[in-house]
Parts: sequence; structure tokens; C-alpha cells
Amino acid sequence: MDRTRFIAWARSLSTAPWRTLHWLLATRPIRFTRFGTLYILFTVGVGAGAINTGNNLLYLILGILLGFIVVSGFLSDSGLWGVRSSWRPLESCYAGRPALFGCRLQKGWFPAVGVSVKAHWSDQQESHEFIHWVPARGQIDFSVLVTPQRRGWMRMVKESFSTRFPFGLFEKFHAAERTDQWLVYPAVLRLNLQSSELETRRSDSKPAQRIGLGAVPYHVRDFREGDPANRIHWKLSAKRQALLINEMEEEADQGDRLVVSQWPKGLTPEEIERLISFMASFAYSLIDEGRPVGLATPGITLPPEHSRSHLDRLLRYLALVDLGSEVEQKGSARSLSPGRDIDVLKLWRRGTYAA
Amino acid sequence: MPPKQRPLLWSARFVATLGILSLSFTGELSHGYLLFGWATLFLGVLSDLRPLHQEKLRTFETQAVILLVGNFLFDFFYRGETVFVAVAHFLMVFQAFKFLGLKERKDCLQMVLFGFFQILGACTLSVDVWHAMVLLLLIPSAGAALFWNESERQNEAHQTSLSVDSQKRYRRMALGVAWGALPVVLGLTAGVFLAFPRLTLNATVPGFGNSRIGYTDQVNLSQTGRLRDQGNPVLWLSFPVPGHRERWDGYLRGTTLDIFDGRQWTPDRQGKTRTLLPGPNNLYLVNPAIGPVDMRQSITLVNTSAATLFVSGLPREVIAPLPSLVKSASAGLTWTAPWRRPLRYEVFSSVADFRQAPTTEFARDPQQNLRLPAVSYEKTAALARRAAGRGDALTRARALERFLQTEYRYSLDLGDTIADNPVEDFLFNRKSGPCGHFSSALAVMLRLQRIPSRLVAGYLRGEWNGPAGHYLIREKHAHAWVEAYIEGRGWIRLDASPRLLTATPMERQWQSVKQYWDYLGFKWNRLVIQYDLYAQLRAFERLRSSSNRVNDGLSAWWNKSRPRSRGAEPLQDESSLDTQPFIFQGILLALAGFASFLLIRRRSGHWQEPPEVRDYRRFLHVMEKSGAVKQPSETGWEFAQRLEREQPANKKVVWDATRRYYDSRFTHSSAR
Repeated sequence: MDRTRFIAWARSLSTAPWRTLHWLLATRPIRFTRFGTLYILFTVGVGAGAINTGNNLLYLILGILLGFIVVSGFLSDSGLWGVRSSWRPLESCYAGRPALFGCRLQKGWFPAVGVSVKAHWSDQQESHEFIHWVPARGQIDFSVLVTPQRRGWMRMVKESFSTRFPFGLFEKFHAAERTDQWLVYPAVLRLNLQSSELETRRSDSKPAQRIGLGAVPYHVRDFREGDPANRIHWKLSAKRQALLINEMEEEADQGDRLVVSQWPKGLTPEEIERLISFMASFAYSLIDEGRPVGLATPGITLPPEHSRSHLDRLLRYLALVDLGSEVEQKGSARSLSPGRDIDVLKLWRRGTYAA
Repeated sequence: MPPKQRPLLWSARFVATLGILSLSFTGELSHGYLLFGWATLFLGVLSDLRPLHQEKLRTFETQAVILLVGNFLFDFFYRGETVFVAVAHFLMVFQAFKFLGLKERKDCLQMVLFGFFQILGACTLSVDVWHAMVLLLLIPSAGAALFWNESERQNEAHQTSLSVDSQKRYRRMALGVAWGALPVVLGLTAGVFLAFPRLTLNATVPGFGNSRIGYTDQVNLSQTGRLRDQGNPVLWLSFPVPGHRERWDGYLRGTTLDIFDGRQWTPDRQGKTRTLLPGPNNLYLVNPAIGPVDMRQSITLVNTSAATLFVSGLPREVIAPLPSLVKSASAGLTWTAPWRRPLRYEVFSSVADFRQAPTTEFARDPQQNLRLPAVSYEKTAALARRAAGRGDALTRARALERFLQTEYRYSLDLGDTIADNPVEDFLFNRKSGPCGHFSSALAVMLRLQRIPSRLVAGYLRGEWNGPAGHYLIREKHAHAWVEAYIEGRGWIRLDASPRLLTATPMERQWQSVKQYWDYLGFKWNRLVIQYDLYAQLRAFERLRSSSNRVNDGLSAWWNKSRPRSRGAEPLQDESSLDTQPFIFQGILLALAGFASFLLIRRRSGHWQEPPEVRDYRRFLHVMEKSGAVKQPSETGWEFAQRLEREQPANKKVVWDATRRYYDSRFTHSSAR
């Protein structure tokens, strides 16, 4: 053992009394199970019988019964003591849509047996999972489905672990306050963008006369290794007996900019949420089609892009935007080229696009 | 899970086996019920191999419970069994349904509970050392059963099943729980046992008697069948004074039976009695007027159902923790207050005085002991005349005793029929019988010879137990003999029974092992069964005195090691100086405890941080001591790279600590 490790080991030893004292002083909420209640009543009965008769064998049985209670408490506490968890979403969270949250449970010197993990979220939701076994000095991963109710920050308020291990006499709890929070994007729906207005806008876009990622075929060439399979022109390939690839022309279109020059006033909270959700859905659907989308509101101006990170930026803004804030109320949208402006409010009020 | 792979079922079976075993040790339950219990237990194991008809049994469960309740009522009201025995019968038969039927989780749990209740019942019925073994085995087996029950309940509740790996872990955990719990539970049991207040309220609950089969204060000749040679311990007898053991003639008197109705000898319940109250230290002056004490006996009475003090010789003083004693006209001692635990008492008695005049100040007239029942004893009278011969009363009495000893055979067989005149049946037809028949015949013959006589029920000799230094008297040592009143000599003992208790070859082979088992039983009885309020107070007194000794030792050491100024005279009392350091130490300890409590509360945040982060903090601290300080502008990786350049020898440790820290801190970070 080298010096560093020796020092670390010696330090861990020096903390042992503190840990023990902390373990002794910690509060441990318990709840009697039905079997536990009967067990306690029975123990009291045996104790009364022992005191009444003076039968020492009854005293011994009483001692055994009480001993089991102590052993149960010690083991259940050992099973819960030192359980640590770390939570993370396994995918982006959208309001109203179930999201998968992963949790990693870690345990100290004693394994955790039959542990119920309960997470309390800020929107009154609870997630519950039962874990059979977390090995000593080991970890286990599991996931739960959580459906965030609204956009913005979703916090985990509290987390509690409970167990009935080893005898099912009591249910013991360890609870911990949590401060973890995750961003919930607005509710997003895939919109049907085949409306005449948008098609007209699309048809207005001019080809850039070079290969790109547009929607208009540019030319056909031979297949090369590494080309995406979904762009193979199967019909022509069959006719020519050789794999051919469709190459698209890059659109000169600089994308759409969703413009909200002034946030409307007098909307109810539900209407605001619907508007935000509509904007997010619109942006999401456009980007999903490969079109660059920008955003211009009194609070932010984002140039059109169609990358995933750009969508995250856009959704993050929409998730956190507060229409009542000073910035949003007093500012005005700045119209920057390139890109064409789409008056989102107008579209929203018209209700043109349905999911 | 198939039954043979189901740990809950096996642990439940084991607890149930312990239950039946403990009931078997009591000797209170009928053999039929016990045999039924054992048979269904084994049949249940066999039936699990082909569980075809187990489901059908469940449909009869309600009817069975109704029948069992009927059986319980029959036992309790008609057969007059105690509640415990009736409940034990009930449980035994109900348990059979569980053994033979389908064994779901709740059935297994019921098997465990039945077994536990049986053990509980057995503990109220007997005090044998076997219970120690049963209770010892109960701890791990019940622990494992409850653990598996909870495991199966969890699977039911969450509709999951254990994977193969989890099963292996659970099995290991069950073993750990079972055997790990053993020392903890034993320690706690010992603590509860020693410290729990011994109040012994003795509130009576109707039906919850504690009657046991054993010694009775009557000799009944109207019995058939064969007497059982029971080996249950009745009492332990020792002689604290060396030499007194040799003075013991082997007889322990119990009750004197004066009245004979032709079939049964009973005590004279109409006779005078005197209630004695204890003096200081529970000392009873029974016969203070008799001469010097010849013998001191210490007796531990295990079976107290007869409420009789067994004594050798004529008792002068008795020390017993009883509220009162009743002395009969024939110097027999009984008690009337309820006493359900083993009784330990000491007797100071006079052997010589008893042989000369075993009487009391209110003794009944010996002539009353000439009464015979209204039955014809003509043949017996003729036989008595012939056997007694001529001479004085003592000579004739001895002749009759010799006659019966030589002409008749001792046997435990009582025959199949009850005769109208059992004494003449014994003397002229059967010519063999147990001690009751011999003594009855002798007493009747003496009365026919106009010699007052009476029967005495008690115990004979017993077995010497070397390791314990005590005589062990068992049920099979129960004996009846005769006392005859001879003018000028008083009551003399006559024992016509040619009884010879011989050990079988098997018993001889196992004698030494048996002695040690008996010794264990003696210790169990002395240390556990007899542990009462007095023993508890004595134990606490001993604890206090030993703690005082430790304190004195520490004080002496402190005073010795404390430097004193030369020539300085002590200004205060030495004793107050001795305690001073401990007061200071106590205050310091209390302050340290409080400070640590505050520190823990303050540092409580550290306890929740992951060990990797804590280790990394320690690592940084150690590095700082060695001169390598992490700059605030440096990331962990950059610091590690610098350390690798500066301290190539510690490269592995540095990268290990950094990697663990980063893995813990960032690899698994949330999306916030």
C-alpha cells in the first residue's frame, strides 16, 4: 500500500466514529405492517402472560420476540443506510408526454433488499419502483416513466426509500430532500404542414443550382460506398441494372422565421400554453422536415437553422419564456435577414394547422 | 417454484417440527395426537412430491375448523383437559390440514405460527431442558421462515419473480439473517430475561390451570393396565453439609394417607391442621421443640403440582419462599397458595426424632388408624395371623413386612380387571403388583392385627448425579410405604415392597452421557427456570458490587499515578478526591458527545456526498501536503496531467482518483 492509499485508508478509519454517531442519531420513520401490528400485540400478550405467571420460559420467548424486532430494525436500517441515487432523463422531456427517467442506485457496505424507491416530483406526481436487490458496494440501474404536466423546470422535490426487509414486521423509510431539476419542453405535436399557404411559400423558394439537401431532385449518379440507402433511385436502378443515387438540389430558401412581434395581451394561462405549444410544434415540425427555422420574439432572436441543437435552443427558450416579464412585454421582435417571416400569431388564431 | 425448491416451505416445516417436538417433550399430550402430528408431517412431505389432490383438501377447511372447534370443546368441557392441552390438540389437527393441503404462502405462514404456538404451549406445560434446544433452533428457523415469507409476499405484491442470481443472493441472505440473528437475539434474550421485572402477579384466568401428571396424594388400587416408568425429573436433592448425605435413609416423605375405603387411600382431610407463617428470611419453625438437627437438605422441586414439601426425617425448620405452609397432624407439609414455578427450599430435619416419635403437638389418636372399610377381610385376617406369628407388636409387624417382601413379586402390571376387594385380589390371586398394593396389603394386615398403620406417599432414593452433586428424583421413583404405630416406639417405617430399580444395559451404557444431560437440566432449572425476583435482585446486587470493585480499582490507579507535591497534606477527605477525576471525565465525555453531535449536524452535507467525491477531496488534500496544489483555474484532468509530469511515480494513483471522480461526477450527470 503506497502512502496516498494508506493516508486515505487511515482517514476513512478516523471517520468511522462520526459515521457511527451519525447513524445512531439519525431519525428513522417506520410504519407498522398488519403482520407487525399483530406481532407487537402478541409480544405484549406474551409479556403480560410472563409477568402474570412468572414462567421464565415465557420470559425467554418474550426475549426472542423482542430480539427479532431489534434484529429486524437493524437489518432494515442497514439495508437502507447509504443508498444513493442519481436520476437523469433518458430522452428529452415534453409537457404531457411520458418521458423515461433512468435512476442508478448505489449501496454501501450492506446490500439493499426489497427496496421501494419513490420519487416525488414538483407537479404532485410520484414515481414508484420496487428493487429486489442492490448489491453491497454495487449499483443497479432502472428506469421509470414520468409524464411532466407543464413546460419549464420540473424538480424532484423528495425521494424516499422504504423496505420491509427482513421479516415484514415494519416498513422503514429513509427520505431525502432533492434539488435536482430538469427542463421540460412545451407540449409538441407533429403538425400537418401541407397547407396551401406554406406550399406556396415553399414553391417560391428558388433552387441554388448546386447539390444540397433540398426537396427537388438535382441529378442522378452512380452509387458510391457510404451513400445513404434511402436515396437510391430503385426504379431507375432496376432499369439500368446498376445502383443509382438521387442527388437533391440545395434550396436557396433561407428558412422560415417564426415572428411574434408583440405578445398578445389578455390571454388566459391556458391560451398562453396553447400558443407556446403551437409555436414549439410548428418549429419542431418544420425542422423535422429539414427546413431551417428561426424565431423572433420580443425576448429573443434566433436565425433560421435546422440542426438538433438549434431546435433544443428554440425549445428551451419556449419552455422558459414568461410572457409577463419585462423583456417580453416591452421589447419588440427584430427582423433580420435571411429567412422569411411567418406570423405565428396569425396562423395560431386561424387554427390552420392541425396535428 | 416446486415444493422441494421452496425455502419458505422447508423453513415452515422445520418450525412446525420444532412445535410437535416440543409438545412431545412435555408428556402432557396423548400419544395418539402426537403420532397423528408426526405422521401428517411426513405424509405432507411425501404428498408434495405429487400434489394432485391437495387443492381438494382446501374445500373441506371450513368444515374441518368446525369439527376442530367441537373437538376443542369436547376436550375442555367433557374430558376436563386444561386450555393449553385442548388448544394443543386443536393446533395439532389443524396443522395436519396444512401439512397435507396446498401450501401457498399464507399456509406456510400458518404452519410457522402453529409451530410457534405449540412451542409456547409446551413452555407453559413443562420446564424441561429440551425447551432450551427447541428455543435455540427456533431463532434461526423462524428468522429464515419470516424472511422467505416476506420475500414471497413482495413477489406477490409486485407480480415479479426472483431471477436465478437473485435467488442465490436471497438464499445467502436468508442464511446470514438466520445465523447472524442467532447471537444478537440470544444476547437480547439474555438481557430481557435478566432485567425484565419479575412481578409474578398470579392473576387467575379461568381454565388456564397448570396441572401436570405426576405425584398424587392418594393411592388408588382400582386401576388397570400397566404403570408407566416415567423418567421426568421431580426434584433435586442435595446435602449442603458434608456427611449428612450418609445419614439419609433414601426416603422422602410426602403425604400421609390415613383413610382407606377398600379401594383407595386418602389423607385425613378432616384432621387438624395448622397454618404456619414465615419468619424473617422465609424461615418456618415447623417443629421447634424437637432435638438437634441431624440433616440439612436443599431441595429443588421441579414438579410442584402436588403442592407438597417432600422432606426426609422430621422437619424442624424450613426455608421456603412461600407465603404460608400448612402442617398436618402427621407432620406433612403442604402449601395452598398458587405456585406454578419450581420451588427451591431448605429443610433442617431430625432423623433420630422421626424414628422415635414422628408426631406433632396435635397428632390424631393412633387408634383411629385401626379402622377398616366395611369389606370382609376374613381370608386376609387368617393370612395375617399365620404370617405375623407370635410376639410383640413390633415383632409381628416386622414379620408381616418380611412375609410380603419374600412371598410376593413386584410388578408394574395392574391387570385388566378391577376386583371388588383389591387387597385380597392381590394377596390371594395376583400375588404381584406395584408398591401401592404391597403397602395397602401390609397396612390392612397390620390393622387386622390391631396395630395402627397408615400409608405414606413419597419418593425413594433416586439417582446420584456426580457432576451436579445432587440426587435426581424422577417420577418413576415415586413410592408408597407403611408407618406402623408401636407403643413406646412411636411410628416406625415398614416397607414391604421388594422394589428393585435396576438399570437396563442400554441405560448403563449411556449413564455418563445421561448424567451430564441431567446436569444440564439441573443447571437449566437452577439458572433459568428458578430465576425470580430474589435471583434478579441478587444479580443486580452482584453487578453493583463488581462495578464498585472496578471503580475502586480505577480510583486506586488514578491516585497512584497522580503526582503529589512532596510533603503536601491532603486537605480533603480521600474518598471525595477519588471520585473527582471520574466526575471530570464524565463532564468531558458529555461535552465531547455534544460537540460531536453539533459537528455531525454541521457536516451532515458531507455524509451525503458520493464516496468518489470524498476520496477525491482527500486526494487533493494529500497532494496539497506533498506540495502539489491544484490551482482554481485548473480542471481535474489538467491537474492530473501536471501531476503526471511532476510525480511520475504516482501516475497510477493520480489517474485512478481523477478518473473515478470524473466518472462519478460527470459521466452520469443529469440533463440539467
